[in-house]
Amino acid sequence: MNRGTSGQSAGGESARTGRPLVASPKQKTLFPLQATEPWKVLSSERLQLDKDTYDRIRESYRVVFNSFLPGRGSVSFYTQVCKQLKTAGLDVRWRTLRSLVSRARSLGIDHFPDPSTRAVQSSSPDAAKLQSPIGSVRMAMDAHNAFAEIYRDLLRTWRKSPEAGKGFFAQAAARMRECGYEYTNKQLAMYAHYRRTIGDVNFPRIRGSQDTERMQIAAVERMRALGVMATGLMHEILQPLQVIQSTAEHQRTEIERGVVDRERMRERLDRIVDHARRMNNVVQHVRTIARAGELRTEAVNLRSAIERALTLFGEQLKSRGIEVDLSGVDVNLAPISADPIALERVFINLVTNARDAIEDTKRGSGRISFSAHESGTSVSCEVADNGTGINPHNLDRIFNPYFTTKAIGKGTGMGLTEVFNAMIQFGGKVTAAGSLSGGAVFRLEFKRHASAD
Amino acid sequence: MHRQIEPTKRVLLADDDQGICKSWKEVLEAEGWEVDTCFDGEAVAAKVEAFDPTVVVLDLRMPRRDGLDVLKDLRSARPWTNVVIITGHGEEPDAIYCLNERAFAYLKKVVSNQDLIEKCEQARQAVPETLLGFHKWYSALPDPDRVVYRTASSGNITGRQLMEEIRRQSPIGREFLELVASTAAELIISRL
Repeated sequence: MNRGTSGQSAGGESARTGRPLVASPKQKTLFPLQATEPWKVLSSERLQLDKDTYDRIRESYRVVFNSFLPGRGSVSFYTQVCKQLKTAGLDVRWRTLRSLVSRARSLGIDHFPDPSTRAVQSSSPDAAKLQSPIGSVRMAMDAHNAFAEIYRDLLRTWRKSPEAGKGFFAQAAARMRECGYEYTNKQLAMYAHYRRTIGDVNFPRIRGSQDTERMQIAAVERMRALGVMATGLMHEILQPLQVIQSTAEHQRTEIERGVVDRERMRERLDRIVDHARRMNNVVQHVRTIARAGELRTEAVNLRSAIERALTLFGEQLKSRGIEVDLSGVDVNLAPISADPIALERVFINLVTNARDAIEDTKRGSGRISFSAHESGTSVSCEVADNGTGINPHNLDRIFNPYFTTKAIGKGTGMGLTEVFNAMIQFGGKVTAAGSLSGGAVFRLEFKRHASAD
Repeated sequence: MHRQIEPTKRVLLADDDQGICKSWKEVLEAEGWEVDTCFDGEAVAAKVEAFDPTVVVLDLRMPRRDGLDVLKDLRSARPWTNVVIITGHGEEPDAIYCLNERAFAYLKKVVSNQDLIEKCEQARQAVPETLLGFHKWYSALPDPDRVVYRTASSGNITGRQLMEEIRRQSPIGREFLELVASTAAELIISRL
């Protein structure tokens, strides 16, 4: 036989036998009968073949071939074919079968494709039909491409959580349906699994890859935030530093000139302390952003978080005639999922904004009210004030870094950005509403802490 | 002939940081300056018109209107008002832009009080008296579009055109400035 003929050895089978998988044209001319009556050529002493037997062998081979999962080794493949043949009423030993198959292949009869090479062949993007060996899932190129895209997108957005409602592949199936491709989630799962086994990088494992990808995105976002920060940061640190330097220097000049005014001196020292504190605040902002990726969410009681944040304002609000209403926040509300320190800063930022907005009205009084309620798996909290409100024109910009309407160098433009980022980290969200007349409302939506369910 | 018109010690501090304005105000007032402050880029122009300072200390980062824009407008509208830029950014392109727009000085925060006083004083002294005189003459004109001057080369010129020439510091503008320097008083009187 055609032992030693050179040819492509694409799979384990052919590597072992050293025979070509596909016949060369030369071989075809040598055996002109093969296409019409291959059983005549393949008949041997051990296995007498006629058309019927040959067809039964072919059929069994095809059935096993279609359901065979690659990677298990070809021995078990032929054993399976033998079993299949037994149910069809034929008793053939696997060694006999093997020799039949390899003879057929070496003669260029393509009735017995190699199970280990078939997967590789169909993984080439040129294949008109993409199929999994389970036989039930076939995808045309356009469906395959659509699925790959949806898969990639879902990897980013899908989260394994009870409120997502649907599993990964159920969502994928729904979105495939939107694109006009009908597949069940099981079919898609099988297809993705199969593509992965043949080394298609479009379908990475869901669990691990999702985490790393999300972490990478978070890291990039953090770097970007730091970059934006760095330019603004310099300004924010130099500004108070300038005040401190000027004030201190001027005080020294006055003392040298013999001017002593205790009241003015006290006022200047206060100013210096104030601005030193302001510098510290700026640095704290940076720290929050820098460690933003390390936020750890735990069960937090909303009311006590708000109360903790308010202690920082102390007399500040009272002296401005600002009343704080906490009655809308029940102490027994379900715990929310958040990082306690970051959450505190969220409220500090919101209260600072409310305070400034109320001050801007120049009424000399105002009101900040908190309210919260549970709904399903989420807890929403509203922080409302009756300050100057938000210009509807600015509503979509207020969470942008360095966007501020505070004219007087009061704001860093980072407060609401920090709120926004923190809420995203908690798996929640924040929205703002308000008009020029009726004050502003910030609506925070938290996830209930999982253990509370 | 040079009658010394001492430019007044009047400075506008334009910085979005109230604290900075406050502390600089103290410093300059102690040196005998008349000081006004402005925290908003958009408001600078109006403040300058109303307050009529000889020197403006300007921050580049201002709410609502960029300091670079303010500088440009200020220099073209009032070439006799010198602008000292004091900024927290200190980026090179900004510095080049400012000096091209004929800012008097470009300083980076943090600035010592001594530097601040010195620069303001220099800026005040550097205001050309001829320009000040011209400004007085121009603002006293009843109709700036009337022909006020005949040059040998380009014929008649209106008051407004002259103002423009001087802003651009063109040869005609400079020639006329010289003229103003020697005859400012007479001109003012004759036009009133």
